[in-house]
Amino acid sequence: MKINEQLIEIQEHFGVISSEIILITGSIILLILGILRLPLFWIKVFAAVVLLGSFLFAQQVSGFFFTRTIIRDDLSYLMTQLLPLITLGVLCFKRQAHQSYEFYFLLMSVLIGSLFMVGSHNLLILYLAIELTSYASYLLTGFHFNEKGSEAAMKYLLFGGVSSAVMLFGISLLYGAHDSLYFDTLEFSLLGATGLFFFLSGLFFKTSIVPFHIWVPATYEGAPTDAVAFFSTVPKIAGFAALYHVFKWTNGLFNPFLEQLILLLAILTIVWGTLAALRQTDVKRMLSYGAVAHSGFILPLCLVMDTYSIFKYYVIIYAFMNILAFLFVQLHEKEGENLSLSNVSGLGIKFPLLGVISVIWAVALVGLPPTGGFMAKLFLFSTAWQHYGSMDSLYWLTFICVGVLSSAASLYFYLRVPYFYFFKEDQGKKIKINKRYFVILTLLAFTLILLFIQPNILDRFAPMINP
Amino acid sequence: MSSYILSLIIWMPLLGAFTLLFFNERQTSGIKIVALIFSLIQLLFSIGLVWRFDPNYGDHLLTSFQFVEKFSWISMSLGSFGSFNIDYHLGVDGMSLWLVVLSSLITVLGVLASWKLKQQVRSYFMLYLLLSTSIVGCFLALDFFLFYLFFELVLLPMFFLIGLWGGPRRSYASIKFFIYTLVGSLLILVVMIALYLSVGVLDPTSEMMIHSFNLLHMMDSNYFIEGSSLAKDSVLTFMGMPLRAVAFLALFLGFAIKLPIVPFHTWLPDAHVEAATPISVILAALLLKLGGYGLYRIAFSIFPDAALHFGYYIAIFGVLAIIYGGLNAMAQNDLKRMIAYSSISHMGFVLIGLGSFTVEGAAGGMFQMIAHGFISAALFLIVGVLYDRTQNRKIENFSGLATKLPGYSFVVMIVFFASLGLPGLAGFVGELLVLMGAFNVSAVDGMLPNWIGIVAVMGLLITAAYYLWTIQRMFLGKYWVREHSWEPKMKDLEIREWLIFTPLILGIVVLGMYPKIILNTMNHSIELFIAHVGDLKIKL
Repeated sequence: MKINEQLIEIQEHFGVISSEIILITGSIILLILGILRLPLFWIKVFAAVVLLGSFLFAQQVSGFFFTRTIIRDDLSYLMTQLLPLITLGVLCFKRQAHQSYEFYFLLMSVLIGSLFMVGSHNLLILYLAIELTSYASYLLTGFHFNEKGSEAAMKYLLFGGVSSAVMLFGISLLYGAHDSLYFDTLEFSLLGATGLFFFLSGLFFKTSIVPFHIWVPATYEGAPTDAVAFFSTVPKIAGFAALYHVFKWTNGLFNPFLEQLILLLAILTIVWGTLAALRQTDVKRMLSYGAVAHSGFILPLCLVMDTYSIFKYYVIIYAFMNILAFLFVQLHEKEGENLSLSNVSGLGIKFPLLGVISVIWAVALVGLPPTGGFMAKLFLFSTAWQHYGSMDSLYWLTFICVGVLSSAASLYFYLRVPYFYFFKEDQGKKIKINKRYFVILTLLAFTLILLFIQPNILDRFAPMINP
Repeated sequence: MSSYILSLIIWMPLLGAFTLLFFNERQTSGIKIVALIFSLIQLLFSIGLVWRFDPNYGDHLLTSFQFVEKFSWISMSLGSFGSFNIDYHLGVDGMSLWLVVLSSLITVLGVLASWKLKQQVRSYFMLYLLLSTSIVGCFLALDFFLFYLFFELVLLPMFFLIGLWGGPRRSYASIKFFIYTLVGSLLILVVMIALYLSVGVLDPTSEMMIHSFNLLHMMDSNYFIEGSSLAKDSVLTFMGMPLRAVAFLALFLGFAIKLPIVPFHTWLPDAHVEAATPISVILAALLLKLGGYGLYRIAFSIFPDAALHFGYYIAIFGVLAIIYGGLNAMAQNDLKRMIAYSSISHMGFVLIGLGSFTVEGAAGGMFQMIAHGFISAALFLIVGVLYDRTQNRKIENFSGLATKLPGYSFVVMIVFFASLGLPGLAGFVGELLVLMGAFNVSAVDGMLPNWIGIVAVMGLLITAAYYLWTIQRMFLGKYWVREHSWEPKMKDLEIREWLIFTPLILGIVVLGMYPKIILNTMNHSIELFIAHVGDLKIKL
């Protein structure tokens, strides 16, 4: 194909990535508006409009675009729908000093990177997208501009730098083995397999899979809570979606070894995350380990094909739970201080509604009825059992057993927030919470329950084109 | 038969809980009255259910359910995973009927027993009514998912009811209770998923396999998909055991933690002792029955082959519970703790009855559960009476109460004697039937050896010993209490307390004198159950 024709083709393809283009343009305008010293409220409104625009104008098409570097399918459509909405949720967080137009610009950049992560069909594009999300994330982590925040950002940067170097090395090995950077040209070879594992480590880093999770607790602890809520959902879900794509093209090549390795990592992640969370007293740190454990639950869903719907349910419900939990945490925080469990002691008398909401998100994160978290776990274990039944693989059975046991253990730490809320003595700490947030929290909590009673409502959200 | 009486019974308390939302925290008497009214309505409906119940309905376990309600609740397609179907499916048979009546009665009595509550009344009664809904829901659900939902839903309100209105070590007890029973229910969850994927019907039009959580389909071997993980012909094994056997054991363990069986019983004394009186009553009278009912309805009915295989060991666990619980009860100096251990001991009979695979044994186990519902409720209320007056429950702190509190002592005597199995009172019938079953089966096919029955009888002796000893220490002899400040508070039962005890004592006496009321309605269902469970030959 001549370069001329390619250029014309590329021109035609711009419509396909309309939501990304809206986001890019929007975030540049946002930066300009910020420089023009528009009040933060209007910046937020503008960002919300841009996000809604990218949500509304997302195109549901399938195929390869931009000289086969961009792929569009059901999954990437789901992400163009879901991720802007999650970001919209993050905009609703309580006003804190660190929030400025740069903060929101960086949030948008992570979002753009995440969307490209899901849409890429080329190792180099994927690498660039991951770097885009990473750099913006490093900056976001330090936005408290205090010692803890800088330490967290530095840690994140160092670990991230190493992992991206390893990933790049893996990509170069893959290129050496196959002479191509497109996913669908990968073939089995020893060099390629080695390269693939190096390459995957970069994605595992993004999705906080043990042993690539070391940055998580420190980063979550030091970063502003709204940024944490964002990290634990948008780039992570995008990372899983990218993994889903990668496995889709490589699954047949490296099985069953790859499957066993992934399951092993998933089991390790669940165990590690759960055990480490048991002893935390800082709520954000505890939730961070909980999020690590959840990564272990999502990982196998990327591995097996035909689980698009279940993957969809799990990530949507996961996003709801996390946004709710972190919003809850942020509302209780004082400026610049982290929330420890003792800070919420005895608040249940003063704010019974918030107590009930904390029960709902805790129970949802454990995965108990009557919340959407239970449905997500139910679907997950059902798929796992189906695979166990059809393949008689001990790895799947172990995964189910470990998953179930860790749910029981995770009850202990997740329930500690409502536990302190209701069961401990009031320590007379004053916490003011704007009534407006009660509405948002209640709505989110109600949605979690609704997703249990009628999970069908998600059927209409980003449906598959060809089921 | 189209009728919504079962739904009404289940959702009435929840409706009450929603009504309470309109009340102010300070309108305590209004809140109590609303809770009482809604639980009374539930009781009336369940009595109406007994009235309209046909004891000889159906000729097979799968068709013997009455007042069936079935609607599609969740039906969604999950791509190549197939469609996901959950039904709202209720039904009642002779086994669940009396448990429903028992739970609505106990709910009413529990409201009365909580009448003096002062702190956070509204939240208490909302949780209480939610608890009542979920317990009755468990007894009536015929869809495994629905059952599991109610089974889990019991935990949350119970956790808060123990943890917020309990004794000094309440938070420890509530967390322990929650985690123990959660482990059990997660085991049940895994089996539920496996069963769901193994059971299905082929849709003739679309050629797609439609899975379902229908318990009746799970009980019927025709519905199992050929080659699925839990089908009869499944070749899958787990640690060398056939998967069906493993699934049965997981279900058994899940329900047995709730029952409880001996190595997993330690949550029970803690939870019972720390919970407030009405909550202990619910725990002992109803929550333990969830475990027993789950064994009957789910574990045994779905995996009869595996159950038959393990019958002997199950009976051994029963004996162990009887002896160990009894000996522990004897060693306690806290009255409430003693009663908690006696509950463990009495629940052992249910396991023996089940393990015997005879109509007598199964009916005895079921009867034992209902009788124990009445007796244990009364026992915990007895402790509550003493605790209300003195904030103390130590056996050694009281003596000769019979002279000072004659009415109270009268109640105590009847209930204690009922619990130790005096003929003519409720506790006797169930134990007798179970022992008959146990001895019978050893004569017929040697499923259970004779010693099981013999040791169980020894257990009765232990029970008699600790009850009589307690009566001797606390109620006979010269009147004496440890603290002087208690003296003015040692008054006999008041009207409200008589109101609570009268139905229980009436129940205990009527059930003991004329057990036919229950046995007649239950018998047909038990026969069908045994026919379903017992006619399979051992395959493992």
